[in-house]
Amino acid sequence: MSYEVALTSILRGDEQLTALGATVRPLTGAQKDQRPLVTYELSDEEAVSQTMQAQSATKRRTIEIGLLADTYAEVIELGQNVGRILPATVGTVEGVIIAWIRANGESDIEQGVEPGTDKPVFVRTQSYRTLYRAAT
Amino acid sequence: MAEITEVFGSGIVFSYGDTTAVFTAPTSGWTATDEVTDIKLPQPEKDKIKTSHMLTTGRVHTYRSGWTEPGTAEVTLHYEKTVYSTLKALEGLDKNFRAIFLDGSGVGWTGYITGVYPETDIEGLVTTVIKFQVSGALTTIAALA
Repeated sequence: MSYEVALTSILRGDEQLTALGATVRPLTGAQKDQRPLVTYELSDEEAVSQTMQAQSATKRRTIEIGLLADTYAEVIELGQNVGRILPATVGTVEGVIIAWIRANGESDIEQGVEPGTDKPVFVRTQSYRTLYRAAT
Repeated sequence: MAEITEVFGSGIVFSYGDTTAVFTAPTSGWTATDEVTDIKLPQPEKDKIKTSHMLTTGRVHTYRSGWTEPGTAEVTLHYEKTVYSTLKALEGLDKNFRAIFLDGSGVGWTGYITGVYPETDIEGLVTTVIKFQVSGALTTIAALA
């Protein structure tokens, strides 16, 4: 069971996100990765409702999504799609039973420059919290 | 003062048995419940009987110990439908209950379950709450046999 695998499957499995040409990568992606780019990072895993004998099998975690695109409008569209996909995900995906994924904030859009060029790159981050456990 | 060996609050085993179950028996006669998340043990309290009168020294009230109210208890565990049904069927029946700590000591009591009900949490898990009325004195369990 890997939440990373499940998350990748969820994002790559969405037709609209795929139609935008979005590449899904862990962490920050690589410098030459094709944009638009959706990156993910998982952190803050905590056991929910620990029992007297052992850790609970149910966990909460933070998902940090990075959205990178060549235009302001593209970043917005990426964000709206991810914001549509993740909270709607309930059920078993790649051996992970997902109870919910909840939006937990979004940054302003920032403008940077692609290293070694004058080309603008637009970046936004989104944060989600999720409750899940491994399918038995 | 000498240091004590502290006992962690986790790892407590909660069990129930018939009123013939021996509190110090390791497992025989006892059914342990899995996935307990919280235990509120009974808090017995003695009544106070005021004994002061007109001529009590210093006009400070005096008391004597009265009857003891043995208290109530509560156990919370992760909900599982079969366990829930089993516990629900025990409501109102006289039983022995005990909580054994990690160092092997614990507390036992006789009483009955006053209610079993599920509690929901949209952010977490469904749990089963069991409430007890204690009848008679608590049993201090120094160690299992």
